[in-house]
Amino acid sequence: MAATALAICGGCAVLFAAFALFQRTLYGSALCLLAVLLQVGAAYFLIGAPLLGLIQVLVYAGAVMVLLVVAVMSSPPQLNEPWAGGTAKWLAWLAVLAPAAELLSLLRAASGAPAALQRAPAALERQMAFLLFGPYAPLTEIAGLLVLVAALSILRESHE
Amino acid sequence: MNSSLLVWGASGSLFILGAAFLVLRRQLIAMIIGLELMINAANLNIVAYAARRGDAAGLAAAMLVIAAAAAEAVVGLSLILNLLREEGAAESDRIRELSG
Amino acid sequence: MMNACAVGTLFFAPVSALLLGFFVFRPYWPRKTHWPMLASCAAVTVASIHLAVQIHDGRIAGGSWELTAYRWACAGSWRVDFGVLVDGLSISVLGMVSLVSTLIHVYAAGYMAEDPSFCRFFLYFHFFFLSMVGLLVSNNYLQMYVFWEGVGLASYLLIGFWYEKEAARAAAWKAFLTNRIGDVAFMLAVFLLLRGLGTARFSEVFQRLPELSSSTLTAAAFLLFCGAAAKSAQFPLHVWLPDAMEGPTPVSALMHAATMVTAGVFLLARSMPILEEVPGVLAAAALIGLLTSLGAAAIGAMKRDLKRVLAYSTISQLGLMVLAIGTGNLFGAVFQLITHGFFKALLFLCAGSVIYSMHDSLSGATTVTVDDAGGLSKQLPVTSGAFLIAALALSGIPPLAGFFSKDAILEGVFATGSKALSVLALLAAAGSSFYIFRLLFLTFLGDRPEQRGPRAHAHEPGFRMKVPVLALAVFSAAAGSLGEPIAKVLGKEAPHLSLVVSAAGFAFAGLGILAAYWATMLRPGFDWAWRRAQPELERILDDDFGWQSFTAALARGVLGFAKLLAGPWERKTWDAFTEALADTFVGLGEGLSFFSRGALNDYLWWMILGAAALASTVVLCF
Repeated sequence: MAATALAICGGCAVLFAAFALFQRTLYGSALCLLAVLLQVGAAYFLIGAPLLGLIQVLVYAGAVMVLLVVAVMSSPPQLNEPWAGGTAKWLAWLAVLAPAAELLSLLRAASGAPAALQRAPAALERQMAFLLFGPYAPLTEIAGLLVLVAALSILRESHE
Repeated sequence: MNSSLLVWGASGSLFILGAAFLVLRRQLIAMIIGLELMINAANLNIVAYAARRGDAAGLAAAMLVIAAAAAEAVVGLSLILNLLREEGAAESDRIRELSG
Repeated sequence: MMNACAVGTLFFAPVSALLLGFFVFRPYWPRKTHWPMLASCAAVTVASIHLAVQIHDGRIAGGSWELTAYRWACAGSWRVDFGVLVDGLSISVLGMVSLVSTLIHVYAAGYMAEDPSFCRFFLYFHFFFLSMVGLLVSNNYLQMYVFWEGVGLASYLLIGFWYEKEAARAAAWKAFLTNRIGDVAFMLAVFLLLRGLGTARFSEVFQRLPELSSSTLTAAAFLLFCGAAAKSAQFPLHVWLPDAMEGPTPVSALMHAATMVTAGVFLLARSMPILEEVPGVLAAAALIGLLTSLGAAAIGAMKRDLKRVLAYSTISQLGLMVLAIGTGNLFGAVFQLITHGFFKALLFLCAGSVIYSMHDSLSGATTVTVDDAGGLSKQLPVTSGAFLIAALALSGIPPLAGFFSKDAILEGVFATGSKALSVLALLAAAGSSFYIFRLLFLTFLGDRPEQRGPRAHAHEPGFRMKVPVLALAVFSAAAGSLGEPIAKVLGKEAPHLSLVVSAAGFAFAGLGILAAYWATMLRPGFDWAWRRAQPELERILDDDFGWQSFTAALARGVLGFAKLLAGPWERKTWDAFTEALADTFVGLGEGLSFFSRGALNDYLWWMILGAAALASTVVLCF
């Protein structure tokens, strides 16, 4: 059951990523990205890291997406030719076909019953919290500081 | 079906598509989208293996990656906004001057 | 203790005067710069006279006082010290140099009073004095060489003192470059001695001469003579001295007559122990000295420019000194050097007074010709009287100074036994009395229609310029009595005055004077008449018998070759090479810049390709 759901999530994520590639507007690409981010968040949940899934949805699908959409809205409309200069469209198709081939070969290689998912989320995430605020505390602080500085920088930007 | 294999395939596909996005599009905002895709692909892989092995350090790393990625997106987008204001456009092939 | 103080004063006074002059007087009282210089000159004079008396009275053990101040350079087996050597030779010359310097400093303070670069003049002038003192009291060849270059530099700066004038700049260059030839020779000689003996100290070098191979000794003696010949304006290298008269007259008097040019003779006198080992060089010195003396006397006898006549007279007298050295007559050379210093400085100062009296504004006025002068004795009685004394001294009329010193030289020449040499030396003596009295008569006497004659406003110069002239006149008259003391401090026997030589010298000098009288007073227009009749002869004499145009052609040739090297050849070879090198790298850079044209997407492609290559390597190999 969970494995099926995971397969659907992964497939949808890849599908939307491929869609994003072919959107002619930035807005469309951003929406596709939103879909991918949500699928990944769901995948976290299914894998057994519900807290990370929640953060993924909050931070990515919430905050970063808002920023992206603001940036897209303030840029001039770019409808024609979304591709980088001089590169053929078939490269993009190649980029879609390669993951498809990869997925197919993986599906053929996969055999036997689906492995049981790890079922100890609460303990694992408690351990994660212990690590983050114990031994990894400096790293956590640095990451937090980074976010703060970034927020300050965009504040200054918007003030100008 | 082996779920770890599935996750592996999904994250690899996402990574390739993100890289393609990054390379093939020339608007800087689109490139940021590609970057986000790649980061998420890598993160997905980390989380899957951490969960399977029951290793909380992997989850912690993924957590930090999300924080760093958020900060990176913020800085990148603010730079792009600045460029838009200064140059009127944010395209990678129009910005090739190193100044300052 | 007193002696150490006196020796210290020799260096301390000029150095402190220069420092004071540069750092205090130049910014605040530039018109008073002469005061510290005068004080320093006076101090050095007192110190050197004190030392001379000490040495003369035998109160200094061994007659010489040597001190090594510090070890200057030392490498392997050789070393060079910085030290002081005060012996009979250096102190007798130093006494003359400091005395004449003091008087000419006083004179210059009056002569240059209106010059806008008064302060610069005295700084250069005193720098020369410092270098000259250092040259005379050095105790080794290398230190002497340093000061030798110092006087050369001062000479260059002062000849080109009025640098706005093209002629002054050219003369400065000519003097510097000609002296360079001699300097290189001197330097090579010092290097030879250093290589052979490991020391440049006079006392050690002269003691250990037998250690040198005969070829080294010959080369060193010859090179030393070349160095001296350039500085003392001997025949092949004399061309710079007449042009050096472009400098202010006090400079001509002090440097290019009395002191600096005699540095070459001093070097020869100092190196006498080396020269005596190599008779060939002595013979060459005698011949070149005689040739120079005769040639310069002949050329000087027809020049019209006051200072140029005196310049050729200096060359001629220096030739006599070198002749004395060549005949091994150290005493004669040094004695003549000292008396010549007095009377030649006096002649130049008189010429300076004439120039000063005839020009309203002095700046840039370096000389007058006999065409402008004539009959000046009425307006310039003191100057003409002093000039007469100096001219008599130069001619060698007893009992003035030049008689004794010239006699000493002639004694030495006669002692060689060579008849030809003796006759030629007598001829040179006669020539010198001819040209100097010709100049005297043409300038101060007569009323010739060809001359502009005395100007209405011509006048004796002021007090400051009269006193040195009078003092030098006294010295020129009385310096003959210095013969005995000089011989004593030199440790030589003063040659006994033989009646034959004295009479011959006197007779030839008198003949010269009579000839001059005949050519200028009895036939007043003669000087102008022969010029009109024989323009070709005048041209030849003006050209130093062709030598001037030869050196000029040589210089042009070298210059042309240098221009060829620096121009087309350099462009074709070195420039072409460097440009090709630069072009290669520019092309390479432009080719490579295709890979970094600033497009972000390109970089990303490379990055991804690289990452893929890395990943596949890892996967395939491990």
